[in-house]
Amino acid sequence: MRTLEEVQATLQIAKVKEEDLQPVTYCLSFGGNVSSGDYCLMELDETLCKHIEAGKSLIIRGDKDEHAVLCSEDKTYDLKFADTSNLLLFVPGCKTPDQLPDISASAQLMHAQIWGVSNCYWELRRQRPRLKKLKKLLMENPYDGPAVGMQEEAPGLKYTMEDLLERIQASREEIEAHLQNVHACEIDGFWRILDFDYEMKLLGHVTQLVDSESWSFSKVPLSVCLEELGSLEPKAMIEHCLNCYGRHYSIEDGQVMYALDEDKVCRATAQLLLQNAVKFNLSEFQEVWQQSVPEGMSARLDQLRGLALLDRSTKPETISLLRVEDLHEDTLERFNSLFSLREKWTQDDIEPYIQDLCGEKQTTGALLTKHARSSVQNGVKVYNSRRPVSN
Amino acid sequence: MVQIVISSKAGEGPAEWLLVELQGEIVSRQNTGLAGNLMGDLHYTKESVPVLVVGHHIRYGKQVKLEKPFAVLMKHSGLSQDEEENMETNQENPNILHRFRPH
Repeated sequence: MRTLEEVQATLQIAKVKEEDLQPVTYCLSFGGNVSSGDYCLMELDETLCKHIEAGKSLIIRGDKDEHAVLCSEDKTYDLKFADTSNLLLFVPGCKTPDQLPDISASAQLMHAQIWGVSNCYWELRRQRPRLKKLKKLLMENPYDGPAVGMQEEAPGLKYTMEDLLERIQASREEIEAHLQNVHACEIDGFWRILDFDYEMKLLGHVTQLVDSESWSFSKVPLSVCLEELGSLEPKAMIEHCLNCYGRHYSIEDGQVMYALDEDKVCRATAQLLLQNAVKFNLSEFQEVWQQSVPEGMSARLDQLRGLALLDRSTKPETISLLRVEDLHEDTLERFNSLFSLREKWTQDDIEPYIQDLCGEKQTTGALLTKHARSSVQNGVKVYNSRRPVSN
Repeated sequence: MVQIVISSKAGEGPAEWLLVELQGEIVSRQNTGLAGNLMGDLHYTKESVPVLVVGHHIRYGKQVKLEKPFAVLMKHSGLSQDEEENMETNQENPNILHRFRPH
C-alpha cells in the first residue's frame, strides 16, 4: 500500500509544493469490480432523483424489438445511449475540500477505491407513453354483455393489470388513465373494453330512463338507475356507463347522483352515426344528429374535434369519421397520413389530430413548424407536407 | 417483455459518490486490466483546486456541480428464472464532478 512518504516523494519529483496543498490526500486505486461490466451510469432528472431517494423503484421495460423505456409510477422516459470521449470514474467515500477537516491539520493519506469506470451513460428523455397497443390488446376481445343462458363467455384473450404492465411500455398511472379514456372496465379481474354498440345500448337505457322520469341531466340518481335497469343489464355495467358519461357527486342524505356530460353523450351519438358510412352530407348529418341525441341536449360541431373531419371545400359540405386514436402513434407517420388525407390543413383543423404528439413543453405550433411548411391560401394560413407524401 | 427493476436500499437512500472526469483513456501498462492497480494521488490546493498526479503527470482540475445527477446502477442478479434483474442505485449527488484536463 502506498505510503505518505511515497506520495510526498512523488510531489517533489512533480515539482508541486506541499505547502500549497491541503493536508488530506487521496490515493486512488482501481477496485476489483472495475472490469466486471456489471454496472452502468444513468443520468437522472430532479424528479427521478427524489423518487429514488424516497426508496421508490423504477422499471425498465421493453420487448426485444422495442426501444427500452424507463417507467416511474406515473411517467415514462426514453433511454438513449450517450458516449463521451472522456473517462468517468466513480469513487465512493472520497470527500471534497468543503467536506474535509481543517486546513491546519497535519498531512494525511487516505485510500479510496475507484469502484467503476465508464465512457458512456444512459440519458433519459421524458416521452409520451406508447399506449396505442393497450387498446389494440383489449380490442382482441371486446365485452358485449354477460354470457347468455348457460353458455360460458366465449374464450378469448383477457388481460389483468399485471399482464398489461408486462406488455405496454408505460407507467402504471399512465396505463390506468388510458384505461379510463377508452372506457375500459374491470370485469372478474380482467380489463375489458366494451364493444361500441353495447356501450351505446347501455347509454340508450340510461338516457331513455332520464327522459321517462323527466330528470334533469345533472340530477340522475344512481340507485333508481340500478333498480330500474338492473333487470336489463348487469348493475356494474349500468354504473360503468354512468361513470363514463357523467360525473358523480353525493347529496346531503348520502345519495349518489350523476351529472351527465352533454358533450360526451353527443360525441358518442355522432360516432354511432358516422361509423356507418364513409362520408355524410354535413347539413343532413347535423339534422339527424340533433334528432338522435337526448331531447334537451345540444349537438354542436365543436364537440367533434378529434373525432370527425369537416370538408368545407366541397359542395355540398361533407363530414366523415376520423378519430385521432385510429391514427399512427409515430409523429412522422402521423403527419404523413394526415397530409395524404388532405393536402393542406388550417391550424384549427389539424390541431386536434396532433395535440397528443406534443412533448412535455411543446406546442402544436412548434410541431407544425418542425414537420410542415406553411403558406397562405385565400388569406388563410395553411400547412402542407415538407416532404413528398408516400401513400 | 423484459422488465428490469431499479431500486435502492429502503430507508437508507443511496450513498453519494464522487465523479471524476478525465480526458482520454486509462490503460494499464501491461494490459493486464485495471483492477487492483494504483491510479494516482488526488490532492486539493489551499484554494480547493483538485490536483491529480498520475505517474509523473500532473493534472489540475475543477470542481463542478453536475447539471443533472447521475446514478450508478449495479446488477444484482437474484432468481435466474425470472427475467427480472434487480439493480441498486448509488447516486452521485450533490453532483460533484472533478474535471481534469491536460495541463
